[in-house]
Amino acid sequence: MNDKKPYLGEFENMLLLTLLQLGGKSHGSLVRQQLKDLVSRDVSIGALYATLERMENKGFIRSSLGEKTAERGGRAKRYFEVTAKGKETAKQTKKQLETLWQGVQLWSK
Amino acid sequence: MEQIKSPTPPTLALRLLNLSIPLHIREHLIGDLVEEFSQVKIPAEGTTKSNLWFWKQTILSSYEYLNKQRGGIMSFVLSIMIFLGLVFIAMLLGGEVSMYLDVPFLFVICVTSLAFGISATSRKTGKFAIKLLISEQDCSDTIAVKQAAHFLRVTGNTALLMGGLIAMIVLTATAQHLFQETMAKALQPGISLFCLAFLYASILKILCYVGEQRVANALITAEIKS
Repeated sequence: MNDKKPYLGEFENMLLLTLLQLGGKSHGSLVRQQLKDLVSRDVSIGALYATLERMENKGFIRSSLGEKTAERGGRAKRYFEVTAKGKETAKQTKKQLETLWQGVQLWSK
Repeated sequence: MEQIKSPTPPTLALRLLNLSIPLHIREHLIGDLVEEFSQVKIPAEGTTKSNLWFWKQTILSSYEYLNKQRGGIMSFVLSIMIFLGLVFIAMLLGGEVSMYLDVPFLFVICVTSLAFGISATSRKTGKFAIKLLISEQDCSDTIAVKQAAHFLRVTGNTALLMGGLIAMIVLTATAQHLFQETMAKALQPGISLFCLAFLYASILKILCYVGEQRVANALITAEIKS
């Protein structure tokens, strides 16, 4: 490995891919449900927000404020979307994982 | 026609979330939970299961933030617990703990101090000061933060003054009885109550002093940010 690239943790990688799958802007509740439906990962909303905040600080995602709705008790939504840096890091991580998987045989012939 | 009441999440859980989740994400995080509760959970699983789900989310999320993100408040609560623990140990080493307990004295000093604190500021300020100590609050209103610090200062100082006043009353009463009874009989309860009054007052003063310093720190942070 040469230069220092931004590191993506396992859960961060999952969140980044979920946000990319949802496309555009998504809020926490939607991301949580998508994670549960797709990979059966039932995380608390607190853990999800803590990770999303960390990813935003690293520049992988950005957030914006949404509308206040009655079904949320008049509270505003916070939308998340992947940045160009996030997309680049996701590609990089995929490449790294593919390299590591090469030659790995888990199933007997 | 009967109106159908929309389901609401447990009030106590919402209060816990309001206390434990950091201010900058509180509205969005709670909003997400409330939305999922009313739009997804209630129609699919009914009230009981949905309430349990909401409590589970509340406890896990509160733990997440209290444990990992809120070092300042946790260390404050921990330092208060250590302080009270040390006082308890000191009492144990000094003899029976029961001899340090005098409920009427404790009640008079605590209630009077809090009443003075509230009357010098307001009930709202008192509540805000307590909230500031145990959870993250919006400190952009620097006047409210200064008032909270003032509430703690007044409460702590009143506790110390009340302790001194009661100690003086007890000392006077003891002196009055010195000529009527034997020396030992007259001195023993008087000195004991004299010391207790100062003990309670000092504990409350220390707690308020630490709280005041914490609020002062929140004020400095708010002023730097603005």
